[in-house]
Amino acid sequence: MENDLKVWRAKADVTQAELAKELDVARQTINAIERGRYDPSLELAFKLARYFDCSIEEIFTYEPDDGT
Amino acid sequence: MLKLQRDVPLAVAVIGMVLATVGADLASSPELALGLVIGGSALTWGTLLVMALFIDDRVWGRLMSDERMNRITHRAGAAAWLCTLATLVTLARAVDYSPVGVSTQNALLAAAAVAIVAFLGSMGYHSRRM
Repeated sequence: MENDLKVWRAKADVTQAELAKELDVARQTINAIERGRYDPSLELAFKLARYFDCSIEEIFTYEPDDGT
Repeated sequence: MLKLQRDVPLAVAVIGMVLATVGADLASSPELALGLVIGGSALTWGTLLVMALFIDDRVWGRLMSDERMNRITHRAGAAAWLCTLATLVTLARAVDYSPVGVSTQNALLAAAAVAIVAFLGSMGYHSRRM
């Protein structure tokens, strides 16, 4: 799973801490998502999409390893 | 949901363990020591059971402060639990067959040490990886 969360966050001009507080998660969680080390739950993905007023697919992209 | 001060339940669980260990060692009579062991243990296990079954995740404090920490803590808990079981199986036989002799008390303490090291080690590993 890849994501453009950092880009969306920069466009909205919010810090990791501000976004984390708004979504009721730790700043480390936002950092881990941006670095691609942590795939968020569906609930958190929806929260992110609603926060940035976009679809989940605009933030997250899923490319299966086997190309199917 | 109940609204409890965030770290109070964990503190109560630790107090129970202290009563059951240090408290029992310092008790003035064997009867009081046994009472502290059973009472302290019941306080600890009872608190953990209530935390696990009936109270919101937030009562676990930092361990389950959000979904990422929740996932890390569950992985560390599973790793520690399985490592402890494996250690207990090993020691259960080693106590019988070791030529130097291993007391049951030391074997249990070793299993507890494995549990703590496995949990903290796994927490540290996954916190960096995830």
